[in-house]
Amino acid sequence: MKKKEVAKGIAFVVMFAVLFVLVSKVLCHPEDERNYQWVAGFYEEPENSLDAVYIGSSNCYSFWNPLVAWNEFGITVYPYATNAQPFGAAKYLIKEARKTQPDALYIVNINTLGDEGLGIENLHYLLDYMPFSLNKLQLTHHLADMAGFDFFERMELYFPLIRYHDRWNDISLEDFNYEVNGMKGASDYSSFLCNVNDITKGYIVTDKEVVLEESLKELVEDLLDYCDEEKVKVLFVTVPRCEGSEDMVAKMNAVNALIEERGYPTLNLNGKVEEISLDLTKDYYNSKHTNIHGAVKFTEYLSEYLVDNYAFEDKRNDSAYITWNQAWEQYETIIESELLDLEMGQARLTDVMNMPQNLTANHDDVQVTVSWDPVENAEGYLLFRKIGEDGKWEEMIDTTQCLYEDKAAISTNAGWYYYTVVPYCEENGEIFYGDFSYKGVEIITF
Amino acid sequence: MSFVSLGFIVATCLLCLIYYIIPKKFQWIVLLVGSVLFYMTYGVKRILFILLASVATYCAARKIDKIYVYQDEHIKKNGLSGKEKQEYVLLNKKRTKKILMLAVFFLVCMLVYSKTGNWLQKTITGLIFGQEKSILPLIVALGISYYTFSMIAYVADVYWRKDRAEKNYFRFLLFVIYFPKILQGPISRHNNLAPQFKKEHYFDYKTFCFGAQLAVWGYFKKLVIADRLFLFVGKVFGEIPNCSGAILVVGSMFGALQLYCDFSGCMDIVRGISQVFGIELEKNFEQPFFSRSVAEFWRRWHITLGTWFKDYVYMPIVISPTLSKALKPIKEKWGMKVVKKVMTAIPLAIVWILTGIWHGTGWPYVAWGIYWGGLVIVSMLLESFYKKVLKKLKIKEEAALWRVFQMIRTFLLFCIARLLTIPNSLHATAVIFKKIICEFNISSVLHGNLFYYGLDRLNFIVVVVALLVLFVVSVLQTKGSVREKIADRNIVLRWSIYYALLFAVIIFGIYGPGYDASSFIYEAF
Repeated sequence: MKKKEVAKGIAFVVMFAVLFVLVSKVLCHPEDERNYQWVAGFYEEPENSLDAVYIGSSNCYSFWNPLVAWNEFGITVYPYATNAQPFGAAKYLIKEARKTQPDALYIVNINTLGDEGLGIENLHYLLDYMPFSLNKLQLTHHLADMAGFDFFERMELYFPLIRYHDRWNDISLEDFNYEVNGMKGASDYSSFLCNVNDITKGYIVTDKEVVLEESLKELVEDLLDYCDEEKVKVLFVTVPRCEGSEDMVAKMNAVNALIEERGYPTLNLNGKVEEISLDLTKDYYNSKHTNIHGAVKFTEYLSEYLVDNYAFEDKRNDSAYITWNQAWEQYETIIESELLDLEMGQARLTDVMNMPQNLTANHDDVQVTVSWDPVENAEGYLLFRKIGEDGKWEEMIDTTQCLYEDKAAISTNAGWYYYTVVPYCEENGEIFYGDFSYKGVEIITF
Repeated sequence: MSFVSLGFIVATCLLCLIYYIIPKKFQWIVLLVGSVLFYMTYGVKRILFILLASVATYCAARKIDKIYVYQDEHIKKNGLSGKEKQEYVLLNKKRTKKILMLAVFFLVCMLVYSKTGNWLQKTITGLIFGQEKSILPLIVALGISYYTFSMIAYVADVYWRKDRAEKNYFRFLLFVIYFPKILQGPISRHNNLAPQFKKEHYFDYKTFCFGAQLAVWGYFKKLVIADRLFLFVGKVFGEIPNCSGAILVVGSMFGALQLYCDFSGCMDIVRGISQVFGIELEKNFEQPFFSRSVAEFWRRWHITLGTWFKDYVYMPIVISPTLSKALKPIKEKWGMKVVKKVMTAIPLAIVWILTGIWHGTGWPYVAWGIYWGGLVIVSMLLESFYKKVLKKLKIKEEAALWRVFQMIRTFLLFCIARLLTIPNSLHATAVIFKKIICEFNISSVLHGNLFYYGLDRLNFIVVVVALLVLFVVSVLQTKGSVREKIADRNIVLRWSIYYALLFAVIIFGIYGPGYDASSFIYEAF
């Protein structure tokens, strides 16, 4: 073959590769945008700017809220988390994150130990948004092996355009310039913000341990060997959630024991809901994930632990971290509609003052009448109202009565109204708030 | 391993690399090993049937060839001539004919058993034992229709002394199992392929590029057009009661185009891949929808099947002394003109019955064979009458409008034939025709209902644009090689076309999760 032909052939292939990458960038729009934000957002953080990187599955991004931690403690802990991220990815993700955050603490969540993370969709959520590197190729190969994928499925992971090529009929301008939202990985999806589920029945606590399968043991040992070799600062966290069976909890206990044997710190929070002040009836949106309310409590608990044990500094007044302040301001407006308790901060005495019972709202042509039962130990009640599910809670009245007549509701806007009542008492000049319903009572006034 | 799988493309690239690196005398072995491995990806046991058939054919051809070689030597050595020579040759002809018939019988039995074995077993055991049973193993041999015909052609050519028997069994096996043609043809001739396998193939940039371009064009036809049309066709013919006559007409037209793009797309893929290895396979399509008559259509559609039937069924019947003898009374009564027509009609009828059976067992395919056979025979018989009518009506046969009318007519006749086989039941076909005549309802097409049958508006636009591209390319192909024309253009235009085609397949192709891997229609034969 002549030299000219060789050159033409190589040039053709190279140009094809360039075009292929460009087309992939446009068409490979994340099916689940959240995962894009969590992964791509990490790479926006300046080098050596993070106190810690929190690696794991949805248990990271639902339990841990980086912006609440920033706002209250001034620490920067980024969740490099994706939906059902398999535990087998942890070693490679630590390797990945250490390229830009070599001195950070690596917090590894170990609740997702099963095969649920090895579905091809979940692997796409993680791999599609990682920048190309040898480490990414190794991770892809490793996860494909663990999942037992055939040739075509592996190719789909290496070339996600195989999966997303038929998005051509969904394309929009956004696909040409997809932006990170700058929210530092803080969750804002609707089930996380709005849903409440009582998980008491499914919550299992045990001290038992099981004999670990060889494959899982090898995975853990391999990760710990890497940490030994590279002298990685690492903390293993188990969050309190429903595991489905006692065996699963026992498996997690066994993994924790194995890690401790190797001399690494663990924080097994299963069975510690009271210590964290988590309410199983209100602070979860499903059996495995906290909602915003639970996340605030968990984040406060873990933040205190991190500050006490790892001497993370408060950087809230450091101008180098202005993007974190900006992110918090943006995030606050999103969660305002859901989070009255954030305003109340730590001043909650939910054991002393219970949630007002029989909170009801009725309307006639003149007004909406809200009533509730008196709460023991409460000296007064703050009544909040929001208009529409996405509206902002507004304090309407500070009253000692268990009744409120809202005349404005009828005369101004007809629609959905929400009311919630927060009992409070005063001690030594300080106000303390009791338990209250996050969703309140709703009424439509058409 | 399907032709449209990534695994196949990667494996072919690897095979190509080894093929051109290895010493030239081993190239045919590389192709043989690759072909055997390809066949075995469909199941290791299946290869046993093709090996059995190839051994039987090889032995039969070698035996026939040996008889002829000995015959020639004997005649030369003993100086035989005249009547003595004639008698000696006739005697050997009888012997070789017996071997040929045995070989053909064996191959046809394997083919028939493969196609109908399961049904036959169950029917017979049901009658005898009162219960359906499968006693004998089933032959589910891949590509059996194609390789059986190839082998019959081979042994017949050896018998007719048009070809010499292959001495090396493995070279013969390569001819039989050569991977680009094994699944869907073309039905290759040994005297075309064998010399090419024996040649040394050096890497030629132009040949390689042309082969790759042809394969990509095939993938475009298959993945962008055929599989997209199938989304519509499958939906419409899966919900016949919910479709108006107008929708069913669109369905039949799309069904016709889908079949063409699926089959000819595959042929382009296999010919292109084969060209990459420096092996030219026979063409199977020659823009069939530009045909002006049914006879011309069947000279342009599935060409190798047509030529096979012509060479190995039609011609032997036409020149057979048995037929001439049988037609003697007709000749004496009606004259030569009528005899000529009968001599054409009888073999045509046999060919079309067999063609129908080749495509499938069942009444729809019988009807299909009768339909096409009837059209071909009737148009042959009425040819002169037809010309007189045209002359009386003063219609110029070469006028552009008339030619377009003929092409549209041929296409519509093909669409009608599709309606016999797509629903796979004559009852369903009858329901469709009834709906077309009695419940046409054109408004169902005009008011956007077309987009409720598996293809939304955007996908419809894609398929229409792709069909227009196909039409333009087909027109250009009638004037010469399109690849040559593009190759003569400047590099910017050339590469733009190549990239446009490649990315059209990558972006608009129907593949990936969310779509069932679509097999080729003619793979079923």
